[in-house]
Amino acid sequence: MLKTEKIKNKQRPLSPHLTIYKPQITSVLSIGGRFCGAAAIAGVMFFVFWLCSFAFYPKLYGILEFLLGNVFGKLLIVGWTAPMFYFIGNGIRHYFWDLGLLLELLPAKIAGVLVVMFAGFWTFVVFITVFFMKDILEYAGWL
Amino acid sequence: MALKLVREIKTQNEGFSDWWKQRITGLFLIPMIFWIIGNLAFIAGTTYDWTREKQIDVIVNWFATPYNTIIMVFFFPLFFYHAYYGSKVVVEDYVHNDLFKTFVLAGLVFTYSLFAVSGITAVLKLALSGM
Repeated sequence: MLKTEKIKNKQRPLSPHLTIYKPQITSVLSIGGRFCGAAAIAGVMFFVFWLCSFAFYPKLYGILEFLLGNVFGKLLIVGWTAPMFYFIGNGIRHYFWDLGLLLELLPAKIAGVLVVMFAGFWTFVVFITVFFMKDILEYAGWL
Repeated sequence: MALKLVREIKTQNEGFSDWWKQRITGLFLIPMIFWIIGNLAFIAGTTYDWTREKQIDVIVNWFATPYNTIIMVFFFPLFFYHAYYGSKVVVEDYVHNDLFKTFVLAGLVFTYSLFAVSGITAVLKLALSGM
C-alpha cells in the first residue's frame, strides 16, 4: 500500500504534452482530430438549434433564413462537413488501430495522408452538391 | 511483484466499457452522417431559388418521410452519447481537479441531453403534425 501511495503522489507528467514534442504529421493529425470532433459537435448543436427554430419558432427561423438563405449558409454547410468528414476518416483509422493494423511508422503516415484525402474528397463532393447540384441536374435534364 | 503493483494502481474508472460504447456508437453514426449530410446538401443545393412555401414544404416532407424520421430520432441521442464519451476523454486530459471535473462532466451530460431531446422533439413535431 505504501508503495502505491508513493507512486500515486509522485509528480508525473500530465497529458497534453503539446509543448514538449516537435510537431509531426502523426501528432498534428491527432490533435486535428480533437479539434474537428469539437467542431462537429458544435455543428450538430447548431443544426438542432436551426431545427427547433424551424419547428417551433417561425419568427426566429425567419431571422435564420435571412442570415443563412444565401451563399453564407452554403459555406456554413461546407465548413461544418469538412471537420465532420475529417473526424470520420480519423475515426475509421482508429478502428484499424484497434484491430492492431497500420501501427508501424510508414503505414501510420500513409493512413494519415489517406484520411486527409478522404476528408478532402467528401468535402469537395458536398461543395459541388451545395453550389452546383441545380446546374448539374438542369444540364442533365432531370430538373 | 510487478503484477501485484499493477493491480493495485489499476484504473479506477470504467475505461474499458467507455471505450466500447464509443466504438459501437461511432460505427452506427458513420452511415447516418453520410445520409444526413448528403440529403441536407442536396436540398440546399437544389431548392435555394424556390419560393419560401415550397422550400418549407420540402424540409417538412423530408423529416416526415418515415425512414428519415426514424434515422433522425436515432441519430440525435446516438450522436450526443458519442459526443459525451469523446468530450469526457478530453476533459479527463485537461482538467485535473476532481471536483471541477465532476462539475464539467455533469454540465456536459445536461447540455448534450437537452440538445438530443430538443432535436427529437422538433423532428417528431414535423413528422407527426402533418398527419
